[in-house]
Amino acid sequence: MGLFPAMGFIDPSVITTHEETGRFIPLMKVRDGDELEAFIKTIEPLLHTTRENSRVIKHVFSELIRNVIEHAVAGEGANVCATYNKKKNKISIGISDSGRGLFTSIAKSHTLKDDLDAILKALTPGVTGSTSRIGGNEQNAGAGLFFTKCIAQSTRNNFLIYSGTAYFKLKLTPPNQRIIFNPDPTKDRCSIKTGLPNFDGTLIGLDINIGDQSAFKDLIDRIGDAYQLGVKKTKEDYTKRIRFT
Amino acid sequence: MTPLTIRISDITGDFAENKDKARALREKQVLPTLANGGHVVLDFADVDSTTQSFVHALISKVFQDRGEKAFDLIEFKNCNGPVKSLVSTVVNYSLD
Repeated sequence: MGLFPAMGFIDPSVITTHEETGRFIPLMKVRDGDELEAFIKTIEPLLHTTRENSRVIKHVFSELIRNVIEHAVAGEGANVCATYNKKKNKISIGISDSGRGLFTSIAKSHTLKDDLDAILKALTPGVTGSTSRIGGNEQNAGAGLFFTKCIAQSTRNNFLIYSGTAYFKLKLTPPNQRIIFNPDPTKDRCSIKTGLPNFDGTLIGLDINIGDQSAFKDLIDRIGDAYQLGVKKTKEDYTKRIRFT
Repeated sequence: MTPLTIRISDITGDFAENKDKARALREKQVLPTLANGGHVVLDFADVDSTTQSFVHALISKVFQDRGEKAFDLIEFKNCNGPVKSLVSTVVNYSLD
């Protein structure tokens, strides 16, 4: 998976490299917006899926890596990798950084108690470290992590975020249980832990079933509604007034 | 006055996600055009997909600052379903 090269070392072992296409995205670093753009172009053929299915995966990669670039202050950028489980038709994505962590990032604009509070705020719609205004500013909406969590939830998958000494893990939603996009992450079916070994940066892992994305548009509509309700407490729909031509 | 038409795919390719480019478009083209009394057409032809963050960086300030008047100032051309959905999402939460 390219651990040694990604860390800047020569691989001490002799390995047989498998063909990447449709199997995995090797561990690599993404440091800025241009590298992110190039990375997204690189992964499209590796995903080995339809354009329709790849939309949501590219969306997730873009939002999570951009968070690192904009907020983490991580000199080394984002560490990114993914594997594809053909049997389960599932892609597992991992993104980490060794930056300042969520607490320092969110505390720039919000009062926080501890690392767990920072994680929960980061998952709350409309909260960003860029401004104390709920709903964000002209550059950030405080929506990226909420959207990503909801995307994992929509396919009844796991989502984990670990920063500092705490983590939040979204548990699997059982097949017979309705999926609800909660603006308050503590109302999710989740596991929360504190007092863990300190991790200075932020780590996110999630799974997505790549065969379930034919309704990406509907998914975005639903998550958007949940975000709007979380931030504004109302659900006004102006869609008919937008000039789509 | 002829509206300013910006063909997004010329700047971003078929996946419009680069927020730095969205910010540059907003600050250098969209906002100055509107400030001078002009209109803007954002043409998403050949854009297969985008992100909430990109659309937010591109248009949310216009709707936050100008409210419902912004509907008369910006046109969204050639959007496919997912792009329309993201534009609607950002407009809906940007308007107070």
